[in-house]
Amino acid sequence: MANVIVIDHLVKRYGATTALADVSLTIRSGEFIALLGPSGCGKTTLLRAIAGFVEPTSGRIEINGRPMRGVPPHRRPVNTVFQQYALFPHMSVADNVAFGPRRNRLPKAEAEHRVAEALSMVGLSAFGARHPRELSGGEQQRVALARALVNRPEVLLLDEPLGALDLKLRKRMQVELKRLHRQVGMTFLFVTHDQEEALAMADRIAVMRQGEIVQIGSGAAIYRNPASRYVADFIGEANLITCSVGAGGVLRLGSDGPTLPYRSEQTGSVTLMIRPEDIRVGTRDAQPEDVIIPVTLRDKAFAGSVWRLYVVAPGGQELAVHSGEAAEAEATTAGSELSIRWRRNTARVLTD
Amino acid sequence: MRLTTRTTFLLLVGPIGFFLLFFVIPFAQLVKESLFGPQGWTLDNYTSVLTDAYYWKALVDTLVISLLVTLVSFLAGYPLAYFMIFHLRSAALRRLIYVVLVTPLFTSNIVRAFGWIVILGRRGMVNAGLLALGAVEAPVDLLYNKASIIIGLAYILLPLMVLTVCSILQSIDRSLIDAARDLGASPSVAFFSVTLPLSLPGVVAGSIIIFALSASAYVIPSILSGGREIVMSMLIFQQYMATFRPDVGATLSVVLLVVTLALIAAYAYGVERRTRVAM
Amino acid sequence: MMIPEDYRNRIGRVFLGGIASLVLVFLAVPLIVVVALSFTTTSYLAFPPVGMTTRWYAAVLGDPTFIDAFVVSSELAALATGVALLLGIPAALVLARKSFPGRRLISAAFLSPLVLPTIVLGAAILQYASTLGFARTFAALLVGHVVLVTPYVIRTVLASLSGMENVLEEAAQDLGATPSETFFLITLPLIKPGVIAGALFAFINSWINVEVSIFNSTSRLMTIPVKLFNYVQFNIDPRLAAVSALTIYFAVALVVVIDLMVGLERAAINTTADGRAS
Repeated sequence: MANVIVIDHLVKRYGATTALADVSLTIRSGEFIALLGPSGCGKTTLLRAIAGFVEPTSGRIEINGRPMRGVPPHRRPVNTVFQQYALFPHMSVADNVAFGPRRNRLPKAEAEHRVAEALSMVGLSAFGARHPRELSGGEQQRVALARALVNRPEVLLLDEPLGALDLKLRKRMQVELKRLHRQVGMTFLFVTHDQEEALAMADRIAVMRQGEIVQIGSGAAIYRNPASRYVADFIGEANLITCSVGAGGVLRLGSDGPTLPYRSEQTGSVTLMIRPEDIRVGTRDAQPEDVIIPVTLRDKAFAGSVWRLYVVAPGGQELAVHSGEAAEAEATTAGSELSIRWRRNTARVLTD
Repeated sequence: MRLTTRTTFLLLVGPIGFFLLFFVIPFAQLVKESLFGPQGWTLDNYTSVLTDAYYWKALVDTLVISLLVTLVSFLAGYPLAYFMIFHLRSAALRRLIYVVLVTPLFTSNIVRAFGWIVILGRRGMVNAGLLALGAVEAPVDLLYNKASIIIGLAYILLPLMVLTVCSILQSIDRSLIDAARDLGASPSVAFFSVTLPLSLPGVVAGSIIIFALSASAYVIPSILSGGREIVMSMLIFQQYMATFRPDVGATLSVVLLVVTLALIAAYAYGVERRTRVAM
Repeated sequence: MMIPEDYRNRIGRVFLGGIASLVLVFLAVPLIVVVALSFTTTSYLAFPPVGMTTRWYAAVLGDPTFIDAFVVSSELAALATGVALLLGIPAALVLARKSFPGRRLISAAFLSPLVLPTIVLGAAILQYASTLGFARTFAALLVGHVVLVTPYVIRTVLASLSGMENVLEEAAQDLGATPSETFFLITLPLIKPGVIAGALFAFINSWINVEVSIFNSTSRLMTIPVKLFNYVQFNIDPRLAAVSALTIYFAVALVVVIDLMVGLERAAINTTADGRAS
């Protein structure tokens, strides 16, 4: 698979602040990749650097092998779907979508054809004569999409485009975008702070923190094998148990709790990560390799499909358990002693 | 939009060039003129002007008149602005009020001065009314004194004061007033303890500008003084058009400029503090 | 006896409404009075006007010196506005979109003619033009007026530009528009209200100005306001009222035009003394 974008040691500094601290990334042709992180992590800066609105302090960006240094936004083969849609209020929907083709001096017939095609792709064929102010948020977002797609860019850049939509609409648009991506076969680069969104849509996710990419991989891979506490905590819910490393590299719960069947080469303390949904209550059906820990129940809450149990392990650390076994969960009361267990290989030792 | 350095330069060359040629340099020349005497650089012009009681009186009169003008505009303008922002519901009425406010701003000062001559003159509206009511037996001299100048200037600057106060009152967070009412304050207490204090910094800032404009005004004082009062701008005009003493004219101009700039600096400082406090 | 609160509030509101009305009457009366007087049949000015005639208007409209002054005023205002737009729009664009050291100082300098003594501006231009040899010419009047009215254009265009989202210009460039295409296709149409309001404010403020015009006027090169100014000092008769009334009608018409095109309240907010819109 060809690399459509190569980002090499990209740095962006604004005076004393560093927005991007040595970012390197290759984006493969046709993939749907997400930049995921909290605000301020640099994901939008990276997207804008690719689009041409941010000039890097150092480093290289190449699109299809062409270096982009000094190339202004209007000459780059990428198009952006902006967070606030940025539809031109004084033009109709059709004129908005036709803007790119016209600037590229496409013959009139060809341009019209492309506009009709783009509008039908997003399901707004009848909306050509309307103006942006007459449209709902979801419709505006789709016009913004059409306006970008009509130019057939090498890469489509999406800057948190679903942020302004309500929950239901957002979920629907996520599916729509995935479908569009398959339909046009284009490369999509998507920026978001919503990890659920990234997991739902992207082929690959690049998790960012303070100007750096801390992990790249498929959603499932990152979820199962987070590289650090930060990633484990950011994606999905995680129990991060502080363990001390004892003799022979064997882990103990807390500083002096029971030993656990994990090893680490580090000294001092490490983090053991276990997802709440991977923890079971009780010892019935326990496997020989399962890790079993005695805990005290502090609180429980009903959440529809699961019971959330908040337990305290020896040594005082709190764990969250998502139990699908309603009967067992309901039987417990605050303060009661119980055991929790998990399959040994569902937990991960994290070094930071 | 990203503007390259080259584009920025090209865009600014015209405006900055024009302003340099026909604004900055003429003013600089004025300052230079005030510092020049027959033997070269000197401060004589300033010493002779600033030690002359006649000029001092004019300066003091200018400032006193301006202070009173600002006060009158405030006392008349604030209630109107408050009414417009907090009590007015009808959109049509609001538009009408804006028409009444802005139309005078689009008429020349001289026309407005003339209007006051008609109102305050011996054969004017007020005297006609007083005579008709039998309150006086002969027309009263209402015109050509400090009071008529103050009324005339207040008339010129009142729309500006109203618009300024409107803008400031509009920006006050209504929930603060609601909170006061909720806690038991009557409308007038809410006004004096919440609205007025919150609006005051901005209103004071705006009033400083109005003061400066009043001190610089020429037409109204010139027409309504009837030769009996004199303010700085009239003095300056005299030096250029009557006594042909451009050196004195320049000196007086610089004095007036310094006063105005000091006021603008005070205003800018006040705005700066206000935005910093608001953060 | 304690007046119940409800009553007190109501009285307070009526009182406030009363003051507001008085102030509005105060604003309107001088102009109404002038208009009323322009119809008097007497050949001197006295209130109330006697009878009703339009002969003063006829006299003024038939007077070649007034016609000449009208032409001078109009040409001056039109040209000054044109130059002000050519200078003000680029200046506002840079001030709104580019940060550079000294930006606030330059912005203040451009807007300063609004608060500095215009009488001093007039005098300075006279002296300067004298040394350069073009004093008391149309050109001298023009440059003074341009300096005087350009700030109005800058102020309203700046307000429009800051109200307009920067991201729209980015979107245009993202889609392939060059910077100048972006300006003419996107920016300019969207700042139209600011440009129109600025042009109208510039025009009217040039038209009605006295302080800058008097210094460079001559008996043959005079604007209407200067002519009125001279008139008032020597010769108060109903013709003065007629000319003044004509300018008042024009002012009312302009206010209505601005209200219809841009919205008076929105345009008026740009003229507040604390400069918040800029």
